[in-house]
Amino acid sequence: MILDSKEPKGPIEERWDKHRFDMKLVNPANKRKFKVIVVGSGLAGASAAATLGELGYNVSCFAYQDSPRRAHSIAAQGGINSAKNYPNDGDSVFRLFYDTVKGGDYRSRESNVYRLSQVSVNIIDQAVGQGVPFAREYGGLLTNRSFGGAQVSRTFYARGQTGQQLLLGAYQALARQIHAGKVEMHNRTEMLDLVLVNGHARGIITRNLVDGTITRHAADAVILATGGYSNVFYLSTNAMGCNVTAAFRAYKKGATFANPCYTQIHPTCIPVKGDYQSKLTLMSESLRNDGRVWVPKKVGDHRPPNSIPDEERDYYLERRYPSFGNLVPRDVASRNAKIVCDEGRGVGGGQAVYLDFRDAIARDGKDAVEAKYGNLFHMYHKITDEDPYSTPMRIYPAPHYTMGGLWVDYNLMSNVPGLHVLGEANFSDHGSNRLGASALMQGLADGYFVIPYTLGNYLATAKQEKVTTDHPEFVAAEAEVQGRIDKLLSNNGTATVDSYHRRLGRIMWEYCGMSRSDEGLRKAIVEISELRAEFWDNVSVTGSKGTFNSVLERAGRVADFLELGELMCRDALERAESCGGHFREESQTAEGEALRIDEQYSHVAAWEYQGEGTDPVRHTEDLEFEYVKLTQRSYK
Amino acid sequence: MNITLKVWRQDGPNSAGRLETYDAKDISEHMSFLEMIDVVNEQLEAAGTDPIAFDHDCREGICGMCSLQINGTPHGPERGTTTCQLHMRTFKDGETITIEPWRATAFPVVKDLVVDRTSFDRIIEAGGYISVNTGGPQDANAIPINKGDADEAFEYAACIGCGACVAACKNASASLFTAAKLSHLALLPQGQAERYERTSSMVAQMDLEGFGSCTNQYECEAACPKGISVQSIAHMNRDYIKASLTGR
Amino acid sequence: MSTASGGNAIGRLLGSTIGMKILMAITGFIWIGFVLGHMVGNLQILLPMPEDGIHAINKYAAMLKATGGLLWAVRFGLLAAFAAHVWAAIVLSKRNRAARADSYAVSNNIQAKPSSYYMLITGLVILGFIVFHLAHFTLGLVQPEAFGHHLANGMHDVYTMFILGFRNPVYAGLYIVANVLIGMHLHHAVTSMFQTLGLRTPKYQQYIDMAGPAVASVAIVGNVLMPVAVLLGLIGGSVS
Repeated sequence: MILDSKEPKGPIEERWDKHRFDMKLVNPANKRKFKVIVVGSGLAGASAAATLGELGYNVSCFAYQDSPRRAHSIAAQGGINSAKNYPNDGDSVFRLFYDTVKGGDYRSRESNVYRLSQVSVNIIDQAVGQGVPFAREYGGLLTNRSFGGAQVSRTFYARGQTGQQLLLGAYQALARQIHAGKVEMHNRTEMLDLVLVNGHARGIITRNLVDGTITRHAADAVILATGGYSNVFYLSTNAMGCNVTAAFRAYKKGATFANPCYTQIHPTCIPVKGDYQSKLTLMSESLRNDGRVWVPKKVGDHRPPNSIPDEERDYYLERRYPSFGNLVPRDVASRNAKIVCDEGRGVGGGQAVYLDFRDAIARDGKDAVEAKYGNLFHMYHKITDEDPYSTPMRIYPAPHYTMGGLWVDYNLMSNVPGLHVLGEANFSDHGSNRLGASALMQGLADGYFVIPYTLGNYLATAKQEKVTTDHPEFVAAEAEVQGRIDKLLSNNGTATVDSYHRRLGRIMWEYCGMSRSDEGLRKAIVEISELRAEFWDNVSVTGSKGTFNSVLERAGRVADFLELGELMCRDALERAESCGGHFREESQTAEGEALRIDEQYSHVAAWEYQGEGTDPVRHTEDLEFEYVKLTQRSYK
Repeated sequence: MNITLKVWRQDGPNSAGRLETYDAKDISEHMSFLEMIDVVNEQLEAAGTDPIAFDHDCREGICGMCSLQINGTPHGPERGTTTCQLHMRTFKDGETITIEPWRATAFPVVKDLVVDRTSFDRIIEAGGYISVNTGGPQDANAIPINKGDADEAFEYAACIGCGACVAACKNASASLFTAAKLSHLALLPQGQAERYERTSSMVAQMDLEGFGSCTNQYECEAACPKGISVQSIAHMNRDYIKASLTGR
Repeated sequence: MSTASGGNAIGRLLGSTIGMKILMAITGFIWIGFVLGHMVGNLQILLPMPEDGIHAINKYAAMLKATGGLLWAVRFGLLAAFAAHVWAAIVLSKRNRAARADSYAVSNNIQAKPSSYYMLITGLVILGFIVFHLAHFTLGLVQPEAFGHHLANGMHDVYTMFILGFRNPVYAGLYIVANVLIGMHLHHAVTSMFQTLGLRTPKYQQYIDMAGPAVASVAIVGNVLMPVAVLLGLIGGSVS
C-alpha cells in the first residue's frame, strides 16, 4: 500500500491557497443532495457538522453523550494557540509552525502543520464572533499568555475553561443548524461499524444506547471525530466514555492506524489513591511556572515534606535541566518523575513527586499565588483533602492525549475513500508529542476550516452512485454488529468488564507507558493476547441488548481496547527509537536523554488490519523536512 | 466507612419506580461519590444483576453529565460542587443516603437515575447562539469589549447545562439555565443584533418544554455547581419585557 | 430564530410564564400600595378624640365617600387587580404542579425563605380575610350591632364601629393573625416583584432584598397595633 499524503508542492506558505484553488467545488444548489455523517460532537465534530450544515449539506451527527455539549473537549483547561501575534512579541505563522514541528519531535507532516498555523488565526476570529468570552485586557482587547514553555505569548484562554467555552461556541453553532433542519442530531448513539460500498465509506451502523436499537445510516461521506484512546490505560484524564471503538472499527474495515504508540503522558496530575479510582484529574501545567518539583534525596525518607531540609531535597528537574528547569516539555517532565519513583524515591506511597509552592509563596506572597492558581489549589484541596498552601502538592503523570490515530492525507481523508478523520482521532499534526494549547487549535482547524473545503473536493470528484441502507453491505455490517453483541451477552462469564479493563490498563502502563523496552513490549503483546482470550471466555455482561445497558456499552469498548493495546505495543516495538512521548530504553544518550534516529524512523507508521489471527502490516509514509532543520531536542 | 444507600430504580420512562436499599461496605472516604456507586455496581454486576444506571462522563465537574438528587439536594450537600467532585468524606460512617433522579416533567426518567435533558438542547436550539457562519466574523480584536462585561458574560457562560437548577426548583423551572445563556450573549456586543428575538424564542421554548415558572426563591442559584447568579433571571425578565413591548 | 408570537404586547406577555409573573408583580404592586395606604389612613384611629366629638377617622371616611365615582373606580380597579393576581396565581400554580408531577422522597431546601414557600397558602388566607373584612366593615354583615352607628351630623360613625369591632377578642385575634400572614406574603412578594420586573440589579440588590422584610414589618406593626390598642383599652374609652 502506498500512503500518498497528497501534499501540494511549492512554497509552503502557498500550498493551502493553491490547493484550495485546485480543489473541485460542489455547486451550492447541489450541496443539499449530499448527505454527510459526522461521528462525534467535540470541537472537531461539532465545528465540522455546523459548518457543513451552513454550507448546505445534509448532516447527521452522532454523540454517545446525552447532548453534543458534553464531549470531552469541554475539559480542556489551558488555552488555544493562535499565531495572531497581538502581543507583538515576535510570533508569526511560521514560528507557530516551526515550534509545532519541533515540539512534535519531527514526526509530523510539514504541510499539515503549516496549514494548521495559518488557519489558527481564523479560529480566534470565529470563536469571538460566536461570543466565546476569552480573557481581555482593560482596554477591551484580547489578552494572551505564554503556555507550555513557549517563548512567545500566543495562547488565548477563558480562565481555566477554554475548552468548555470553545466547545459551547461550536455546540451553539451546531444547535443553530439543528434548528434550521440542516443537521440531524443523534444523542446517546454509538457507532459500531463502518460500511463500505465499492471501497468507499458510505455509512455506519449505530446502536441507540437507550433502547438498544441497531440502525443503518447511509451517506455520501463519513467523518470520524471521535477523539483519542487514552482510556486504553484504564486510568487517564479522559472522560469515562471516551473510547476507540469508532476508529477501531474503521481500522478493521481497512483504514490504516498511524503511530498508535504515540501517547502523551501529562506530568501534572493528581496521583492514584486506590484501586477504586475511576479516572485521573489533570491540573494545568501552568503550575510548573511557579511550583518546584522535588523528591527526597534518600530512598525511604518518609518524613513529612515540610520537615525535610532543602539540602536533603532533590529538585531533579532543576538539577538535570538547568536552563529549562521545571518548565521542560511534558514528555521530559513525566519521564523524570517515573525515573525518580522507580529509584524508590517517590512520595506518598511511592507513585508521586512533590510540586512545592513554598518558595513562590515566600517570594510573591500567598495572595499572588492564590490569584494565579486559586482555582487549581481549590480543586486539589477538594480532591485530596490537603491544603497545597501549607503542604506541597503531590503529582504524578497520567495518560492524557494520543497523538496517534487513523492515518489521513492532506485532505484529512483516510486511505479509505470517503472516510475523513478529524481532531484527536487522526494522527496528523502533533508528531510524537503535542504542545500545550494545540489540541483545541487542531480540532477546530480541522472542523471549521479544512474539512469544509476538502470534503467538497471528494464529493465533487468521487462520483459514487447513491446507496440505500438495503444494500447488502449494510445488511452484512449490521449482522456483524448484532453477532458481536449477542456473543458478549451470551458469554455467561464470571469476571466484570472493568476488571479486564483494569488489567489491560496495568499492562499498558507498565510496558507501553512512559518508558518502553523491547523485552517489555514483547511481554505485553503476549499478556494482552492472553487477556483478550480470557475476556472473550469469561467476561460477564449483564442485562439485555434492547435496553439501556451500560455494561454492554463498556464491554464492546473494552473488547476494542484489548485489540488496540496490542497494536500500540507492536507499533512501539517496531519503532526502536525514542521520539516525543515514545521513549525506548534502548535508544537514549549517555546522559539518559531520548535519542531520535532520523535515518531509520523519520516516517509515519500506519498499520493495516489483516483479519483476525493475522499480524497487521506496517506501512510507512516518509516525512520530508524542507523548512525545519532536524535537531536533537535539548533542554539542558 | 459503611453506608446504606436508598436508590431509585426504574426500568424505563413508563414503568413505576421504587427506592431500593443497598449496602456500600468498606468505602474509602477518599472515594468520589460516583466511585462509591461504581463499587456497588461492580458487586451487582459480579452477582449477575443489573447495575444502577446513572449519567456521568468527565468526572472533573465540567461536562455537566452527572446529576443525582442526594438526600434531597442536587449534586449533594457541598455547595459549588458536582456529584462527580463530591467525596465520601462529606458523609458520616453509617449514614443512610437517598439517591433519586432529577424530577421534572421536562426531564423524563430514562432509567433508574438517568433522565432525558434534551429539553435543554432544544432551548439552545431555539436561539441560544449568535448567528455567524464559519468564516464570516471580522478580526477578533476589531470589537473591544469592556473587561467587566466580558468577565460577567463569562460568569454566565460557565453554565454546564447539568440541570441542577431545575432539580432544585419546586416548580422545576428552567429560568436559570435559559437566563444564563441569554445573559451571556446579551452582555456582549456580538450578541446585540438578535438580543430580543433570542429572548422571545428561548423563553417560548422553555415554556413549551413544560418547565414551571420562576418563584424567585433562588434555590437554583444555591444548587448551581457553578454558582451562576439569579441576576441573570432579572436580566432575562428585563429583556423579555422589552422584547414583548416592541414585538420582537 | 423566530420572533415573539403575534398580537399585541399584552397578548404576547400573557402567553408566557414570565408574562404571567409580570402580571402578578404589577397587580401585587397595586395591592402593596393599597395595603400601606389603607393602613396609614386607618392609623388615624390612634389620634385622640377632638373636642367637637368628630373623630379624624370619621372625617376621613366621609372624605373618601364624598369622592363618589372616584372611590368606585378605585374599588373596581383594586378588584380587577386582585382578580388578575389570583387568576395568574392559579394558572401558574397548576402549571408548576404539572412541571414537577413526581415529587422527591427526600426534599431539602438550601436557602429558600419560609415565606416564599407559603405564598399560595398565605395568598388564599388573605383572599378569605378580605371577603370577611368587607363583610365586616364595609357591608356590616358580620357584626350589624357595631355597624349602624351615626353621628349627630349624620356621618357614619366608623370610629365606634372600629372600637366595637376590635373589642371582641375573637375578631381582634382574627385580624392580628390575618395581618401577620399578609406581612408574611409581603415579605417575599415585595423583593420578588423587583426581581420579576428585572429591577433587582447588582447596584440595588441589597436594598431590594431588604425591601420585602421592611415593608412586611411596617405592615405587620401598623396593622396589628390597631386591634391591640383597642384590646388593651388604650383607645376608644369614649365608646360604651
